[in-house]
Amino acid sequence: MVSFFKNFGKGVLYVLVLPFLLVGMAVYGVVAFFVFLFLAVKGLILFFTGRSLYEDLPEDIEAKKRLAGMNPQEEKTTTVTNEDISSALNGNTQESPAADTTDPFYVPEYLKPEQETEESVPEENTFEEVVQPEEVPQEEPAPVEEEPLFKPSFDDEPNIPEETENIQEEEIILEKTEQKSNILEIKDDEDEEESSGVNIDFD
Amino acid sequence: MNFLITLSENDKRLIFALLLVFILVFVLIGYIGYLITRVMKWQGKKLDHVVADPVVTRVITDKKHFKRYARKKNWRLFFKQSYIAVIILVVGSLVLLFRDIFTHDWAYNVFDYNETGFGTILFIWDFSECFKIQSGSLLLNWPVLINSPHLEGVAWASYVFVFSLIIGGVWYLIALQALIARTIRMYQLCTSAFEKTLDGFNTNQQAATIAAAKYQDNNPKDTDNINV
Repeated sequence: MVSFFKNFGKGVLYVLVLPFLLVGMAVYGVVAFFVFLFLAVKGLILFFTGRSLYEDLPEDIEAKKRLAGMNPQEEKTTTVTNEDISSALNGNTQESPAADTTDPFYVPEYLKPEQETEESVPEENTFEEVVQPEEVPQEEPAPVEEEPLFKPSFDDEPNIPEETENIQEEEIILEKTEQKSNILEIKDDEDEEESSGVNIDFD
Repeated sequence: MNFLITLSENDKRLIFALLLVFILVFVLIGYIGYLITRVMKWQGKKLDHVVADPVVTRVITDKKHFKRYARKKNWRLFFKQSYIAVIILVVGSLVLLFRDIFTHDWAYNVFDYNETGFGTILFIWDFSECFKIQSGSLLLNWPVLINSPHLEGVAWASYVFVFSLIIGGVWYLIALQALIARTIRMYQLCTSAFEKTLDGFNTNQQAATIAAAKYQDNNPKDTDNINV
């Protein structure tokens, strides 16, 4: 009911303000038409000078540069094709003519028998020499922590071996309590009895 | 002087019904206004999409620069959205103009309903005979239908002109509404994106949080009673 009367009030307000809104819109419409004409003339001039009205402003260009700088890997990414590999193996840096890979009998250069490629491949440019295996530094094994001879134990936390393997499902009781919140909260003494988390009781 | 108005039960019902209609009309106007506001908010969001990159990358760092840049983008968007509407309007007007030039008929009425105008394809009623006062009493009558829709060959130019006027005009008005919505959004962003505010900031609260975190780091055993 409140929203109904709110809408009624808004309706009254809109009716009262409507003439002013219409006048404002009409003025804006006329101004917009003149700006439209100006932009149309400007667009025509730019069109005949080989430019566009919608081309990027200096701010856009700078923003694009910065965005490209944020992701430098996108620019460096190149597509490696089979032809690139074969030309690299052959030591040929020039672009090879496009092979017809749709041919069912097509065999790429690097898969052909060695007799065919031996002549064209100079010895100093063989794959084995070009690609050197990187020396992997041998990591020293991590020192094994020795168990201390004496383990300190407290009275309130006795070292009782926990039997967790032979427990039947019926004996496990899950107790749901309050979850931890992100806000610092110091408990009162009265709340000390309450535990947090999930308690598993073994009967 | 006392005027005593006595209302019968029917009069009371009539007044109540009129009041109800009055309220419902204003509620309806309120809903229409709400709808227009929502549409304008949606239209204004287009500006965010256009100006986001330079603001996010800190190319634009002050209000004045932002306003200048957003205004340029706003007008460009308006031009992009409305040039088709203007072309439609211009073409419709040129059709009418060339028709008048070639026929030498400058008295061509585009809104006539008899023969030459757009009114030939509309229902036209005559309301002049609806209300009559005879011997002190008000007589009400139904309006008389004086034209039912029919096509006239002579009126083709008025059809083209009026249709282009309606389509182009509505299109231009929508683009204009979007322009106003984006302008409003521009001023909103000027205050929200570049405003330094301390709302929700409390130095004491922040200090307490840091102190508690430090205490917890230094004394992990003693923090059983502290939920972080």
